[in-house]
Amino acid sequence: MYFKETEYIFDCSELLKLCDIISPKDKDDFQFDVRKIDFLKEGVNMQYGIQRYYLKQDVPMLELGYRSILQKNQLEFGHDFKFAAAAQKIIQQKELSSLAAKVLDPAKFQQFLAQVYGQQTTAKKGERTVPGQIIQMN
Amino acid sequence: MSAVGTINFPLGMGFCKTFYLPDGRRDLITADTCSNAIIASTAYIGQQPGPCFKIYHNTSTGANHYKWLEFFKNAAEYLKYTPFANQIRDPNLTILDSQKKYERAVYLSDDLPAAITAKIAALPYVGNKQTLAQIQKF
Repeated sequence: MYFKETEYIFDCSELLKLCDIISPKDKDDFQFDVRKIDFLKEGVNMQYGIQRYYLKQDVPMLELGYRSILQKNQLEFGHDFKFAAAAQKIIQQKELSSLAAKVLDPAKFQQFLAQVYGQQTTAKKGERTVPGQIIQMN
Repeated sequence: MSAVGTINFPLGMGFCKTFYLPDGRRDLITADTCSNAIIASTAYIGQQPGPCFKIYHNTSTGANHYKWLEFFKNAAEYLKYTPFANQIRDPNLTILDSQKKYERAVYLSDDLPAAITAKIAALPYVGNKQTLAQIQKF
């Protein structure tokens, strides 16, 4: 409890001086420069070490990038609602009434079909139509 | 297990969700850095002519201090991707800086549900001995 609540600073300037004195080869062999420790990475290394060497668990190597693995609890409560709400902000409803009027106009539709196929046929009452056959609407 | 492992292991296993860790400068050093520093400093002193007395503090607070919150949050994030195989509960990190808040949180999350379950398990016809034994162990 004492170490938790008390803030203290230890001076390590002598060791840092030693870092500057020794040869570059020795620096690589005996890495003890405190300034180069990445504590955020060490937090992950600690968990990895417990899993790999203490619990003997088969875990992917950290170099492979653990963030590429799908999270176990990725889907939270109400995930689909949150996703839909987020998507609503991106997706905007288009004004399609003018477009719909043109599409639903039979005369224009026939004109379009005539342009495409170059031929028009007339369907009589009781006549069976073949699928894909062009019919003129009167 | 190392000193920080006493927090990391229960966190990963899901034993503890709430931790009392006041934020601030705390001294932490990785074991390999420490052993390397011992070797390098001993070798350096051994090369000095005549008797030599020097103290090398191998600490992090003087040059590169770490913070509880960042350290353990990173570790907890790693556990979301690769959880412990035999974890009891999902790891969920809550760090509190007040002891009173911590005691209240532990009472509500652990002690109170355990007491209620023990009462129910002790009831005739409703509870069973196995549940009572397990909750007493907990």
